[in-house]
Amino acid sequence: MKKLFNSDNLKILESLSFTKTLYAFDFDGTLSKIVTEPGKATISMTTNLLLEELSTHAPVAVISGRSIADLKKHLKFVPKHVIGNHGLEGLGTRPDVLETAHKICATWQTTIKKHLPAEHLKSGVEIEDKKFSLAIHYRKSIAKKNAKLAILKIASNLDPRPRMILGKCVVNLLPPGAPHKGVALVELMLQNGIKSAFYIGDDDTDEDVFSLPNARIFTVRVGNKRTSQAQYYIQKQSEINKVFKTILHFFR
Amino acid sequence: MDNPQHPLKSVFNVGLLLHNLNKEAERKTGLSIVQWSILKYLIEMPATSAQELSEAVRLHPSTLTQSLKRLSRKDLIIVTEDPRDLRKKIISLTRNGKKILDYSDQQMEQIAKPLTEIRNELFIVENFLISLKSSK
Ligand SMILES: [Mg+2]
Repeated sequence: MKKLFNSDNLKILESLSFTKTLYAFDFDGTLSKIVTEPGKATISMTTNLLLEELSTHAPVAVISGRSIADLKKHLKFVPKHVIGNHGLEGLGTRPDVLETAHKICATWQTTIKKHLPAEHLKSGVEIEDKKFSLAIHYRKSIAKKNAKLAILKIASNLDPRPRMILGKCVVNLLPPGAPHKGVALVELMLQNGIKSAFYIGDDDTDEDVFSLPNARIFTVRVGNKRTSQAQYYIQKQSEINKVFKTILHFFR
Repeated sequence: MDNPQHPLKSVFNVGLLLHNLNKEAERKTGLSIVQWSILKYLIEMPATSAQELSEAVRLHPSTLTQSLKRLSRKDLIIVTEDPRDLRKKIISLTRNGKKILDYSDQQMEQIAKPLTEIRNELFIVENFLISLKSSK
């Protein structure tokens, strides 16, 4: 990974503004700060305004593991493309596929509640029902390592077996065959006839975008991590407004 | 009746025409047709690998390298290491490159006008090829 804020790398970023480029953003930990209570995640007024301003120059998308309904509650400005549940929502997934996903998640939830040792539920493990996927958070747990192991053990015995995406103190469970963020971004580009994209995210779920072989996707990670497949990084989430301002400057 | 023009003369004329076209492009825009084609590809396809570019503009990698060096010296493109594979290079258009390309695009219509003269020459070559085929 290379530092984004370096003059050569910024020139590459600038070259994206010469053609139709999709600017896509993860939500938690990227547009908004990571918080202990996912419900309390907020996007700052400035970030919100910058997101809105960018959308007047180029197509903009928010791609998140949250449901679309939840995302819309947190975004004061809702861009044209909002992709939820890691790509299950917002890309025209067939209603019967969603219906099946919803049923599967309901069954999983019952099983997890029944089998997850009560001590974990009492000590801060929370099941977030995202309608078409589940997110089991253990950020508030006092025994994070044990909680994670217990969640993974139960998840791997679920029927049907879920696709698991590990995030920051969260285990995401998706119905088999569900897309990931990488698939979602490529699909969004295809649907809109866009050949190049910018993507920024902070988490393991974003590695599905970072590891896409497409050279036309400019990837940035929030935080430097040696093992990440992202091309560039910014130091911390608080630099997101600087990223926006830099891109906007190219359009002026 | 005049003797019909030999097709090889037509091929020569086409070559000459293209040579002059290239000279005219360089004089008016500072870019050869090849350089212009490279910039044209890069504006649509930012952060392109050298291999992809070489295939797209149909230039041998060593010939491409020479053109890229010239464009880079003029600050029209930037060649950087691929962050995911430091052995590879990625090539992007610079702001200056975009400016020159926009200007060249305006000029190109005028520069390309003599191309209409090629039609007659190509007609002669085509007829020759047809006659070759039918005499087989
Ligand atoms: Mg995130």
